[in-house]
Amino acid sequence: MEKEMGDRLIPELHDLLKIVGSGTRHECPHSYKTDLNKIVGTGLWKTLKHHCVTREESHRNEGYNCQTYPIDRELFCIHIADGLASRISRRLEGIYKSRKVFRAWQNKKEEWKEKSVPPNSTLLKEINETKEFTSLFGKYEREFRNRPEDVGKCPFASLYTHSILTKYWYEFLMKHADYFEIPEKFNNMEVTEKARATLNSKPIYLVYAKIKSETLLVRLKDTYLLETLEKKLSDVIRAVGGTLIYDLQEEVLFILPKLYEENRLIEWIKTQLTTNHFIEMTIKETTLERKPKESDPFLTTLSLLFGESEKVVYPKLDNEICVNSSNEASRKAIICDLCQKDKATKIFEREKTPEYLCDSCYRLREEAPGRPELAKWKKRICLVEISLDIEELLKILSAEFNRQFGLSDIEPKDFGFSVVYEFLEDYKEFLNQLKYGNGMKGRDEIKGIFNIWPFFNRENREEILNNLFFLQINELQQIMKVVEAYESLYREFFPNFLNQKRSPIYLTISSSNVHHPFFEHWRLLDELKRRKKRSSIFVNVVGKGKLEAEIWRAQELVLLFWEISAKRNLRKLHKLAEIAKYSEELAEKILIDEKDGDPKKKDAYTQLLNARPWGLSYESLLTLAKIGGEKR
Amino acid sequence: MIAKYRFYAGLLCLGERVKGGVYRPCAKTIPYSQLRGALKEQFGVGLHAVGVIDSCEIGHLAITPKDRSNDGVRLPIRAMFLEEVKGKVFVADGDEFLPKEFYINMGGLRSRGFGLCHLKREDMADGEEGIDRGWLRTRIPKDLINIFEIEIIKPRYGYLFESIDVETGKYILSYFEGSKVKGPRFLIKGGGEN
Repeated sequence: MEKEMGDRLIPELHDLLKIVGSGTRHECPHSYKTDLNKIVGTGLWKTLKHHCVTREESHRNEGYNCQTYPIDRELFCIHIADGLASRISRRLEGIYKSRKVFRAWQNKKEEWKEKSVPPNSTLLKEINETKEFTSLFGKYEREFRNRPEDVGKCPFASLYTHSILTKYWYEFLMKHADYFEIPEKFNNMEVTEKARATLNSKPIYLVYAKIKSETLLVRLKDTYLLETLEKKLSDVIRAVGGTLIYDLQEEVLFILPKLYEENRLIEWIKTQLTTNHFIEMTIKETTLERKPKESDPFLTTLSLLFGESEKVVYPKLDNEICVNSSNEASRKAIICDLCQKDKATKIFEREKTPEYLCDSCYRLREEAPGRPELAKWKKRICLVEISLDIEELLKILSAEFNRQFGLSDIEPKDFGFSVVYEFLEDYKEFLNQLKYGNGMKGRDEIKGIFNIWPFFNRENREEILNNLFFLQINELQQIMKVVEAYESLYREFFPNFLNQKRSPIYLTISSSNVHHPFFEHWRLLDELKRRKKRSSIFVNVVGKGKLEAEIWRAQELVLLFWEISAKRNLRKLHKLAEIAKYSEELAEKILIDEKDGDPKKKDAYTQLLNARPWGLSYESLLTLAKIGGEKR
Repeated sequence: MIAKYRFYAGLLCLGERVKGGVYRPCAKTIPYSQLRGALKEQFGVGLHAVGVIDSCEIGHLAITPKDRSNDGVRLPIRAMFLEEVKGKVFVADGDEFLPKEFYINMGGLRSRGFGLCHLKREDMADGEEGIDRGWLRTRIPKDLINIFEIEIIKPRYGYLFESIDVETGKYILSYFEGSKVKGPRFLIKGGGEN
């Protein structure tokens, strides 16, 4: 046995050797023993031996001096965690091979070319010389993100996602080692297999949960509630002893050992919630036992988690809320103005408008950070929200997989959570670059909205959430600069959605005078999310009108915008929009007739007519013209 | 025995509670509490009744509510209202206590001509009383779901106001529209037997 130096194991680096070179050498660190002689016996070395736990003999047959046993609990757990993370990620196996992660929203299928890549000697040298192993994961993040976990069979999940997933599983197994009866020491493979069988027989819960809120957001401060949702959900998971496996925005997949019955688990979750939250969830009991695909209990159960949730868990709610005559808020309102699920106990008064709140809503108001910059704004404000519809995303991804691989029956459950996770990682980066650009210079530079005038000035912007911000604008035309920046970045990140003419991502811009109530903007955002069919771009200019367009025609829309604003055919559009309220066809006919009758206006009218098949209504065209033609 | 009535109101303001003093949304369903109150006011009997809205248009207007504490007016608020409201109302034991056709007054802004509702008895359509799974289309107190043969699969909770006397009332835990239920087809939408 190699001398162990007692360093801690680094689960996220267990497949580090996969980015060193191709082939199967990564499976046994002993194959790089000369290059990595200085790390033998360290925590990293132990981590890299996770395959050797069951393949010691075959590694020896391949000529490596593989010595692994006896092993400890840590190495056993990383070995099991790696297997579980692969099982969960490796979906749609055998339909495509690639050395690059295939992102269905971005990539086109490419022909596989056999080639052998020599080991990266510089990287090997760096690993060997490094004292601080944990920094390697961050330093080589790009390589981890670009390399599939399984090049040959399933290039849909990145090594990055797999590594994070393995880390989570490892933490779960270590935390519940007693529940799974995992021994401290393993002297040989026989003990390993026995421990594996015991572990596989123990029931666990797989839980898919979404946290939601029905609390009304009346003031800007109330958006703080949205910031707290994610934390609340992780608090709930921690309180019930769960381990997070996938974090998909406000939806998560977590696991926990079956230490108690489902009803007790739900009761426990209830105690963690306030009237500002409720959780939609599906709880499934399963085991980690591995069986052939169709009968694998774990994978089958995992697939069941896709789709509509089975349960809704609210906090404990009183059957009746009665007036408390000794409390002024209760006498005035009885029930809380915001959450409407608890008794009003406190009065919150600003600008002579009292609100009667419960303890929880009042606490949120008090805790919410102020926005002093925003309070100083005097010009027009512009609220920008980018939102993602996960259900629509799943449908679009299924269609894209079917189209690219010539199949017809791929459903979300077939490509699993890892693909969604990969998408969300790109989506987060998209949001980040949309605001701050890509940080590059020269030809590769992408400018974010916060890099362009006048928003580069901090006083003209206020970020509320990751996907929600306010801008102070001088002219309405600046709205189109936002649309332009959004469109070009969208094209970069999600070109395949444009080809499909479908989008799960929505841009909403709502602009008004600074004194217009925030609640009105919020109500619009909320109403749009409830629509069965909505446009991927929605611009609302209070007092001017609304513009609805689709992202796949946005490039032309931006061009048309500059054309319309230059041609100044506003009066014509006013007339057409009024006529179109009664008959779109009549408006169209008038437009055609006038185009033919006046050769001078032919170009401008042709532009308008060409815009019609893009789904732009006359109202949208008029709004577009108003944005272009008028200053604040 | 549940009696069905065709429902029509020209202007209706089933105002939900004032939110932050600036905006008053309107329920897009006919809650149990509003119907029960209106029927009691008209006929003097406490009947169990729920309603669903099939079609309506949404409008807004600015109002200045009266401040009873100082006999003045409060700051103006924007109120949502419904126009050309068509729907159905279902009343337990309706035939015993109600005429075939009648009017009731329901909701807010009555001084502005809102709230006059016309109800006319009609027979249940084929299969309308059958039990199915779907999403609840009305609001009903938690304790009264048995009257309408509703079983809750996935709740969406809220509170409905119940007046105790002219001066005060209390809020009752209720199931709101959007709850997943097994119940009579006339009260649900979507879903399918499974």
